[in-house]
Amino acid sequence: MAKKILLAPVDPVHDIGLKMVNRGLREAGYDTVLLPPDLSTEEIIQAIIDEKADTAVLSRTLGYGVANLLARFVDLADAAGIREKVRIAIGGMAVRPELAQELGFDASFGPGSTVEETIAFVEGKEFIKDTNLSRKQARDMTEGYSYKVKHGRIGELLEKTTDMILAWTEGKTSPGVERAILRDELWDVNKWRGGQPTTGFFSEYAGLCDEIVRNYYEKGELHPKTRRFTDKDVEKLRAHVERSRVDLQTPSIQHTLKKPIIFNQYGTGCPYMDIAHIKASEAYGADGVVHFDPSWGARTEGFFDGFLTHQEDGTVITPDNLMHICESLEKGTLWQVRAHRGLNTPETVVLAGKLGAHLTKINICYGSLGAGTEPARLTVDGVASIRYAAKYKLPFDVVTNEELCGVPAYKAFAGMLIVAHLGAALGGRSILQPLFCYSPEVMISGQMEDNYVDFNAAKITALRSIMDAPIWPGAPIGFLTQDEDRVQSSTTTALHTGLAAMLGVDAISIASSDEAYSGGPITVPSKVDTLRSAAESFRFFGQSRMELGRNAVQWSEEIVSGIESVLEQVVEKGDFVQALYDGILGNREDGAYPGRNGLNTVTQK
Amino acid sequence: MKTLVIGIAGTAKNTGKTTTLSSILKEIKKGPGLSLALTSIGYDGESFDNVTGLPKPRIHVRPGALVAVSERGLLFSSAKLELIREAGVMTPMGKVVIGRVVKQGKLVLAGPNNRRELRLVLDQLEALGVDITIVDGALSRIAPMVEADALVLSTGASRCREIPRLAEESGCMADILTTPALESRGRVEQVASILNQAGFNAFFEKCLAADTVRIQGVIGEKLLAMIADRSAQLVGKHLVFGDPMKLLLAGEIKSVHRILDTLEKGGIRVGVEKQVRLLAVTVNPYFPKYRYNKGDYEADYVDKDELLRSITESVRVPCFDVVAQGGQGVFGELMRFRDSF
Amino acid sequence: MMVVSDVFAHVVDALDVETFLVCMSENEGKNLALTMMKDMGFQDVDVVFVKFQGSGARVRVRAYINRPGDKYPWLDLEDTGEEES
Repeated sequence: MAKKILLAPVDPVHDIGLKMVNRGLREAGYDTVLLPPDLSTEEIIQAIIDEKADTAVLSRTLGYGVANLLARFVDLADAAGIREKVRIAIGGMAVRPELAQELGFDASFGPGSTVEETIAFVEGKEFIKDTNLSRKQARDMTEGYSYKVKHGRIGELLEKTTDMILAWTEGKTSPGVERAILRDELWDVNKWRGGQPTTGFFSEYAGLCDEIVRNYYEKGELHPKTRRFTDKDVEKLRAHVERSRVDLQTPSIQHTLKKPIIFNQYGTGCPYMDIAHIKASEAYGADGVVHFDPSWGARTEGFFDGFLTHQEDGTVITPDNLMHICESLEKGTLWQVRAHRGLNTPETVVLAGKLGAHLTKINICYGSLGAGTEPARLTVDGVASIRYAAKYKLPFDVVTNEELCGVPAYKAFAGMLIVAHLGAALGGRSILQPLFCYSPEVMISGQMEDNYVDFNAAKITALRSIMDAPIWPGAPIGFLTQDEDRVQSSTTTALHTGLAAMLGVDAISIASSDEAYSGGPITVPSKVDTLRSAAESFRFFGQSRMELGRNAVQWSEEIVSGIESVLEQVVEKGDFVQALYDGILGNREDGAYPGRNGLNTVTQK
Repeated sequence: MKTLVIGIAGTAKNTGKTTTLSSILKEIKKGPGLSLALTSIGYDGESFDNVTGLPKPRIHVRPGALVAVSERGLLFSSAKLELIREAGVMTPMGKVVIGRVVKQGKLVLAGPNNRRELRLVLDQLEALGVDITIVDGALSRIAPMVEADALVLSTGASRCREIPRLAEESGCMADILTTPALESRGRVEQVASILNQAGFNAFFEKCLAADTVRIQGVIGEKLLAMIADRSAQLVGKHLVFGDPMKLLLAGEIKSVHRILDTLEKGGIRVGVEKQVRLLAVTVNPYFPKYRYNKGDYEADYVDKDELLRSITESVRVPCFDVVAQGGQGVFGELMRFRDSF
Repeated sequence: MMVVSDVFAHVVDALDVETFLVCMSENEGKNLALTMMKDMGFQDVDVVFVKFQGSGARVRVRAYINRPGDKYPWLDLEDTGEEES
């Protein structure tokens, strides 16, 4: 039998919220009665009786005396016997479950309540906030992309570079690859989760690590800047995460758009603090979070184990740290564990895969030209990493951080496309990550003298004309356009977000308003700042578009021909690793230097 | 022996219900090992008052006590429970669960917040076998307390800062609450609630034709006054209300008291079906004072000795200030009642 | 680690104060901001942003209440369960 709902504003003036609920219920087919405002308690109760309502929803803004008025209403309704049959709810801006409980109502509708919730209440069904309506689903941004190369000549060149790299890496290995094999084949994640020993793994693993890591497995010595958490710490942490989940809504900040997906980074050094940051990011609309590890991790062969906190920037990658962080994430939050530089690249991908990450990050060129890893080593490791990424079905982004060193975009993009194409050939799904930044290139050549729009747009157009692949500008967007002023920082983030949205890219990474501050760790309020400003950008622009300047087209074409020219040179060289060394993909003048970590560690299998 | 259900009702927020409850719990701890169950028709447990921002006491429970509380409150409690069952009642703070305290600590007491659901919970607690169940009240809500065997009423400066007026009101309240039972005799008619003219007319017709009218629901103050105005036509009739709570809810307490007096003097007998036993009144000199220049509240107090004296003179049941005197007095009344139960 | 009162146990990491200080230079603005925070009882303080323009300096000055790796009081917000006397 259809339910009848009576809606009563207890305020002296009409309640817009209640009118909207009324509209929503009527549209859903319910029979409703909306009372005029300013009726007495007795009149409202009589109306409930006369109208034979099954449900009553009252609304009132709150103040000190109002509590008593509402309490009397409920009391009178109870004494009149109508509480036996009629369910009564209270709604309004300051209403919370605790207040509704104290006043004696059956349910409360606070700010952010939906018509669906009201309907569930009317029908007597438990409204589980966990429904798909308000919980996010983790999305695969690579879905639907073919990775086909649209530019004929570039396509041919990329085929050649892929063949070159695969031929060169054939039969080669490195300690990084060997450790990844062990982690993949001998480290049973389920046994490990269950607390069972995985001794077969460790006896071989330690031997492949640097001394500092070996000492941990053999003598229990931790890295000097780390400290282990106790069981009691873990218990408290779990309780804290559970409490913070009670009212957690994960809003979507893209308003009427579906993309870009918004990523935030974390990596304070302490996984506990990171989790606090992550919960805040989720609550303010971040769709995904990215793990930042310490820079010494890239220079150290092997991973530690244990639930560890670290004194400086970057949270150490250990299976325990990753597991605890993963457990604290909401189901719909995307999680990226980056493998893109350093001596642990392939093993990071394996760990990421086994511990439930959604994405990783791999780039041979940036890692070897801007992050200090030796090119031959990273090429061998990179190929292995891509194979593992394909195996574990982890999409990976290929970032052009070398732009920050001073390498011109077209060179960095050439390197990125080489890796992306290689990835596709090996069954991996890559995501192109050009930078939206105020790079040394533009500082010198002047493309951003007037605006930050055209050159960034040109990058996207250029890449789109070459390959059908997802694009995720980073890292974060607006890099080097921010200063330590909160408002300036948040505004530039918002504006870059607006541009990214108009360009229709698939995802973006946004910074906090602490991005330019290097005197201490990033704080939660600073992360919230930019999530709020990004949200505002979506609200403001919606689906509108901006007109690009004349230069955008020209620059796009220049980037494409620059990419082609670099690829020609790489192919002519015939040796990808040598091409890296010779600076074809970024040279000393550009600010790129072939790395030395892992020198002479590549061997034949 | 049947479970004794005691309700602690307040006349307003901040009248000391929770403090009274805590003082009783302390006495039970000292005493001869009575088994205890706790629930609430409201919400108590926050460190700061929802509206005024001032600190509020929280309830401490010991292992062995049974509690019936809403799930969400448990999340924020340090006391730990061994869950026995779900009570089958849903509140804005989640399902009500019944459990036994296994680790002592603070408990956020929120439970079944209406009469019907309170009854359901009380029955389940009784089935588990306890000596005393205490039901914590909420604000000034009183309707569900009809399910209790006896009440302790907590009042204080938070209800009214002027002691003489508060004393007078408390006296009226106590009188109304202790309205005696009245049997239905002769020709009996029945009405639900009397909330408007139409309802009054229907009632009056029935009243003229009958000897007893049972008023099952509630009545508005103006309508109660109308009965008094026309009492000449109703001499000798019996008006039986469900319970005294319904009378208390009719309107402003002193007016209602006056009207009931007028009815009695006019020869109309007014009574209730279910009587309520009022065991004691506790008084609290505290009130939150609103500071207009700052837009917030600060704690303030009336003269506690004068308050206790005035209220004691005014009501016909024992009165206590549990902060100044401790809980022995109130607890003593409970035990006396229990012995006669 | 200092705590002015129990409320600071609820701060996750840091407290920023943003204001505009009348002064004659950026340096003065910076020093004033740091002194202000120390006067309020904070110890781990730093100026995040300062810009002198016109009659004074706009500042954002920070007090870290908890740094990564500390023991965080907000994990202990649930009380110990001991009875008040």
